[in-house]
Amino acid sequence: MAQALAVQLEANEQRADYEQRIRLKSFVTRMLGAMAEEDEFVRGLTKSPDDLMAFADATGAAVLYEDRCTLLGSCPEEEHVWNLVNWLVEQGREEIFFSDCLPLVVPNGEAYRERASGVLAISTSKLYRSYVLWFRPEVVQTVKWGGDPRKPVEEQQSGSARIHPRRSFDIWKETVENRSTPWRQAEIDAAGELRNAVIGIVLRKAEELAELSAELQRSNKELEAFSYSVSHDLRAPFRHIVGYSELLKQSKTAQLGPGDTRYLDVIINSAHFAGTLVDNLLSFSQIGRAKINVRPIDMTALVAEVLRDAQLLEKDRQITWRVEPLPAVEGDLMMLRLVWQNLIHNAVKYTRAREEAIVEITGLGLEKETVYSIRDNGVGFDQAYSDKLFGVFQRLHRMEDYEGTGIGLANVRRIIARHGGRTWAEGEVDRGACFYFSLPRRIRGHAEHA
Amino acid sequence: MQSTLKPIVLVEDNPQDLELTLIALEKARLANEVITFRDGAEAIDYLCCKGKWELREKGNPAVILLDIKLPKLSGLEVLEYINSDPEYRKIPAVMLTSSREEPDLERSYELGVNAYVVKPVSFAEFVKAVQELGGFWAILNEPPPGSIRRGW
Repeated sequence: MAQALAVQLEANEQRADYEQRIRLKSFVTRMLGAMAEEDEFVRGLTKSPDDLMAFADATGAAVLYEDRCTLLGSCPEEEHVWNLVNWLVEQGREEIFFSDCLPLVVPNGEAYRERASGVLAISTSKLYRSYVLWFRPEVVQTVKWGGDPRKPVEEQQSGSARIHPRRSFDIWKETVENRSTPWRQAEIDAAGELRNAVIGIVLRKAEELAELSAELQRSNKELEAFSYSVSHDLRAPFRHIVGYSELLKQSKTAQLGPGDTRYLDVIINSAHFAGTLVDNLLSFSQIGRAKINVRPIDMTALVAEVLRDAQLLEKDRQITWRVEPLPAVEGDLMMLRLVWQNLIHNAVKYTRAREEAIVEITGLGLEKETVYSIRDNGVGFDQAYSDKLFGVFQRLHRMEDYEGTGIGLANVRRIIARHGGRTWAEGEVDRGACFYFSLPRRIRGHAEHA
Repeated sequence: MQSTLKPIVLVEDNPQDLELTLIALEKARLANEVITFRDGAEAIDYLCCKGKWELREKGNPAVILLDIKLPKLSGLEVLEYINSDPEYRKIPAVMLTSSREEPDLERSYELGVNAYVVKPVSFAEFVKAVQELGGFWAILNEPPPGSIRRGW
């Protein structure tokens, strides 16, 4: 009878375990599906917090990926979660870790025992501190024992010890703290399965990235070869057109009328212009490829230097410069000099119809970025076209009025973009223009594929 | 006077550029004889008195003007060859090229080029640049020892 009952019990337990395993498997499958839909797998994992928590029958979960930590449900403070993960790393628990008495094992675990006396953790990367953790709250239990396990020992006068049978079997009550409900083997196994799947995804992503980067390198190489060839081969015919036209103009034997000389001048000018276009396009492409050397820059000094050169060229103009002290910044000196050269050159150029030109340069240090601006009282532009201004070879003025190839602001935008900053402009026809650019406090070199 | 001048070597494959450079050299009123080559290999044969130059009078030119993109051996390869030889290294070498590409510039200086001229689109400017180069390397410079003056 007793044997039959035992078999029945065991069978019941096995069935329950089996059902749980099936349920957990379906959770894993569902979560993987959600992850596969997202570029960043973490977003997929955190998209349905209920699934993630129910998966391990937890009341809280944390997903740590790269530098970010997403907390779901009832969790310890983020700081504590990071401390816990650091402790896991120190302990070399790099695959899977579980405990139902966390406050007793981890330093300072007392602080969050109410929310997390139990933890189940899997690491999802060998290189980064990348973890998924599940938390279970403390369950304070009163356990009734059939006897005190620390049997009261009575000391006899004789010096020998004696255990009293009655007292040994008194009901003994103990309050169990710092504990959660225990993790079941099925849950631990499923977490391990999830871990393998996530690592698989991470590996696949890494492979895709490596492939992409190889592809990028190849296309950069091609671009380099292309621009090299342009530099050599496209400039040559323009040089020949100008050269032979100038020779023809100077020729003593050619019989050229006054109109013919004008034709020749047009040919020469156009070929010159085409040559300049090629040069500008090349410099534009070089800016996209050149390495950025980030270092601290004294913007006030840089602007003063660029202004000095501009003023030397415009001695006959009356230009009032109002330059405020500018916040310092980090960036590539050569590139930022080019930015100011372009912006200051534009301010000078588009104010030339003004009796007195006024150009104001200001800077403002914000929490995450530094914003600089240059305002002039020149011909301005229609705000409707403000985004076209920064396009390659885009011009808003007729060539006869304001010369140029339309590359200057494109260079400005590209340089600022490569620093991770933004460029924008405000203007009104005939009422001046204001150009802005921002640079982030922390520069991360941005690759350029535009 | 011509007898004391060493020749200028010009290596250029493009016929228009060749003609324009020769006109510029003429306009610069350089009295040196100009010997032209259309690829890098020919120029090296000349320097080393090899092939059809086997019987030429020994001696180094006053200056070598090199285009970068050349058939067979590029201007940079010619430069590398010149630089690797203690005798030829003394010959002033000038890159006269279309390229504004920085790697070319860097490589040229690594290989010991004496001057690097990006051919301007304007012919007048080109004449001026050639004049300055010619004035400096072909006339004012004392020839390095070992170069024989042609006398005939």
